[in-house]
Amino acid sequence: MQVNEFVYGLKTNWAEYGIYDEAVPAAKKLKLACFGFDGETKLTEIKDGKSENKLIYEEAWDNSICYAALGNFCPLSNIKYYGRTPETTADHIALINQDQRLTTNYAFGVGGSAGFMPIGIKSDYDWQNWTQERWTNTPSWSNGSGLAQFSPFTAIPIKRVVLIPYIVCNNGTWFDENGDPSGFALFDLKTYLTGTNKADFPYICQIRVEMAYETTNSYDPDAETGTPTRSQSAGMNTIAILENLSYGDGLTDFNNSEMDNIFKPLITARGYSGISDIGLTIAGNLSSNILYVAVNTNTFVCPVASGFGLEFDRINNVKIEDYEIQTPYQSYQAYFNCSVSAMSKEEVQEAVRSIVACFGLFFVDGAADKNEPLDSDLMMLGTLVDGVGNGDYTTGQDNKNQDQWNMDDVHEIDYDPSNPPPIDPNAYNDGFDFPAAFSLGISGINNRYLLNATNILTLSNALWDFTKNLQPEEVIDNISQTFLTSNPIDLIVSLQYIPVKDIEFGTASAVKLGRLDLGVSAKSVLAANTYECGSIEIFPTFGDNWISKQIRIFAYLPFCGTAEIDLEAVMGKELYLRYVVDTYTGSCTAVLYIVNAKGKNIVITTADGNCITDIPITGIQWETLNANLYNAYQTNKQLKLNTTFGVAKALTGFGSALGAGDLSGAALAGLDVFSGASAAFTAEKISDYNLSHTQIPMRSIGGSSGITSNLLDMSPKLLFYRPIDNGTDSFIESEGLSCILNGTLSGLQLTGYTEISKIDLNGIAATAAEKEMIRSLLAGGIYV
Amino acid sequence: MQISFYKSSDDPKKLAKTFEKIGTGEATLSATVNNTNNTIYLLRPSFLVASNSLYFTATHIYVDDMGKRYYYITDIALLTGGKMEISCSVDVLATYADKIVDRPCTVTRYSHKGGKIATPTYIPDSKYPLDTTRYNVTAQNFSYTPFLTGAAALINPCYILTTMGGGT
Repeated sequence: MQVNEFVYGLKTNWAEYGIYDEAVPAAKKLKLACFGFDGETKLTEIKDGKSENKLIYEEAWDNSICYAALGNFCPLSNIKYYGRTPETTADHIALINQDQRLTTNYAFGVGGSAGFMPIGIKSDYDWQNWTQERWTNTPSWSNGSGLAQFSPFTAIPIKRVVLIPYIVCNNGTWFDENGDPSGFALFDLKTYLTGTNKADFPYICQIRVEMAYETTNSYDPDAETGTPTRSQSAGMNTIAILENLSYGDGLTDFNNSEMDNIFKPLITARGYSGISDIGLTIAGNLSSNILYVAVNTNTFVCPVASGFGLEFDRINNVKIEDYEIQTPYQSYQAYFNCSVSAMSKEEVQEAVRSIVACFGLFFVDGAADKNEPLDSDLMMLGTLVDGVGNGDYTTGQDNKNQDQWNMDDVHEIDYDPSNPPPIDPNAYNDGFDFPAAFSLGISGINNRYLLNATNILTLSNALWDFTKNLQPEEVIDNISQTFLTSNPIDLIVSLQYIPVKDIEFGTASAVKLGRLDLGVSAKSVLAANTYECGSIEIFPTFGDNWISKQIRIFAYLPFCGTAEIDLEAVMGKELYLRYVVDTYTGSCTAVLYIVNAKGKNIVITTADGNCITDIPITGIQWETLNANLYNAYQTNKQLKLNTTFGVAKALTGFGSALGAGDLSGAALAGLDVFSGASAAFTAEKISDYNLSHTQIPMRSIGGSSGITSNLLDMSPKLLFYRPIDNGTDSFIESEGLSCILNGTLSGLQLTGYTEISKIDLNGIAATAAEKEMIRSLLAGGIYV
Repeated sequence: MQISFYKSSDDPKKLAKTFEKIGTGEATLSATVNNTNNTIYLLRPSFLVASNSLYFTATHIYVDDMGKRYYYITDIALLTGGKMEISCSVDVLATYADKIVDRPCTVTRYSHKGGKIATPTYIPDSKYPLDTTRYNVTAQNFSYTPFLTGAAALINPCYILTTMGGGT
């Protein structure tokens, strides 16, 4: 796509940007638009496009300077606007608007210090006082503000520029006692991931990119090797978004002036120090309510208070909250309360690389690598598909396979910003976010002990051991225990068998059931645990062809059964397995997933099962037995005492009665005595019987469940069902193989058996009948 | 007209055949064979030539005057008067081979490309002798299992005893 020279000046008058060796030809330099050109005379300075009437205020810039588009993956295609509105209180910010684009046109350039440029700025705006007017009608461009100084690059020699990503980070301090920013640091990506920098500064606030450019002519890439030595200097950067932005849509200021489309384009600028933001950015300063990057040349962005913020969520960590702002700097915390500590260095590296790759240019991880040859393993090149960057890139020698390798300037890229290619909105690169492998332990709710087989025998013995627990005398003596004790068996909730690794946590403690000390120690049991079981590469056994697609794959998953795997989704990839086990219920889930080309986990299938076996446990209810024995014993004792005295007394009376030889009332009375004595004697016997036959109270806890799964193979595996290939070379020579090829027989270099379904016979002076014969013979197969 | 006799051992379906010349002869078109209307067919002509035993080994006739066509010899009849009547059928492949190879076409099967024997592609092939009624089944373990097996299950703690109680 060619730059619109009516807007951006004739190509021959574009201004060179940068400091170069004398030998560097013009064609190899960065060029800036020359707005001020009028006719044949080239002006001595660049004027802003507004004043030259080349760029119309409130209209999007001519996007012909955009050489390629940022895909939806890039954060600049997904911007949320935060700020204060008349509806929010003075101390709160809220989401105002949001832009989501499948593609975003943009331009690199120099100069410009402002982010949003609304209709106007009141430089003395008091952000704490909402009653003041927020907007004016004075176009800020005409004030010669930073935005007006922005000049876009119209020519970028692809193989002579390199992007370098930088990380603005914070150690968690955010601001000091004076309310000044504190704890910030700036590292290039490589340095950030080196040593302890990432751990020391875990909060990523911004991602920026610097464009280094080649200053010497000594670097003229060899077609084969990409050498010789290069020399890059730091360049700009400013990035302008050449799209209509919605951040003011629907808003009105206190004068009820509509704010729709009040700004185009968005500049995410960091013009002075040469590093521009491509993802995160923050509010302006105390004197305005606009969003722009602070312009201190030697410090990092100091976001303060007011205005609008951009949310950058592509690194999955920035969180914008409706945060009550007490001081200006607290807004920074609100905007960027992010932490990447959960992301590994590799994940951070890949996330940042993917963002930089969207620009379709060469890039490196660290400034120290900017002089590497373009085909070095340290050099990467963003991949463009139909002129759109979606986060893919190549490295090293693979860079040569990309179209940009053979280009001199970015505008040779086949992309028309006014007619971007159709994008599939379903081609978002979302994936499955697994939590990192975790172990969940819960204590204090109940006691769960992890015992081995020996401990279980000890438990069982203790529950049935008469001598250990039958202590009636102690029961009598210890009244509190009599009333407050429990049957050990009654304290058992369940006994389960679960042959799973690594489910214990904490320190070992004695296993007790009420008063019963088993005499063993055991650790507690985790509530849940996850396990990564590794991966298996699915290799196309028969080659990358239809035969390999006849393979069937089943996953044998212990306790979860088997699951057939969709071959199309996993062929040629690593298939990973993760298990999640819940030790309370025994439910376990097996998750089979792959990692796609963009590093996202994609779950292929899951299977559920249960890995716990309930074991019924029985035992004597000791305390109940003790109580029963006690009662029976006491009753027996009393009865014996009663019987002894009662019978003697009765017998004494009886004897007196019998002595009279009179079987009258006295005898009858004696008989009554006897019956009473007999009754007493009988009751005693019954009591004796009861005591000696005190039923032993027993109890069974828990049910039983099948254990068969435990008797099968406990190793998860993949089963490959491969058909039998009987194809031979002789078959191929006589029958050929199916294909769809288009071309000429000579061009395709086909020989041997060939079948042709369609052929264009124009130009052959044969009769119709002959042509029909030709078609018939070709369709039936010929030998070339 | 003059006709040329050739011998070829190539398959009739061979596109560009290899010919060995046997001889030439003067011939006239004959209208007596394979027709009832005394019509001479361009694609199925018959030629009268002087008898020559060499012609019995010929497989093809080339007639420059009939559009530079090659013809299969389908039959030879010996006539009286030292004549032979040669019945023919046009060989379109031999006749137009050099043109056919340069015409755009869609190929659905081939055996060799660039001198190399073909290999299966993504296009399913119903003729291919792939036995899908029987499978070779193999198993491959994942590198880690979260479950205890065998002796490990006996040694390691695998029993969860849940009791009443709580608090810390």
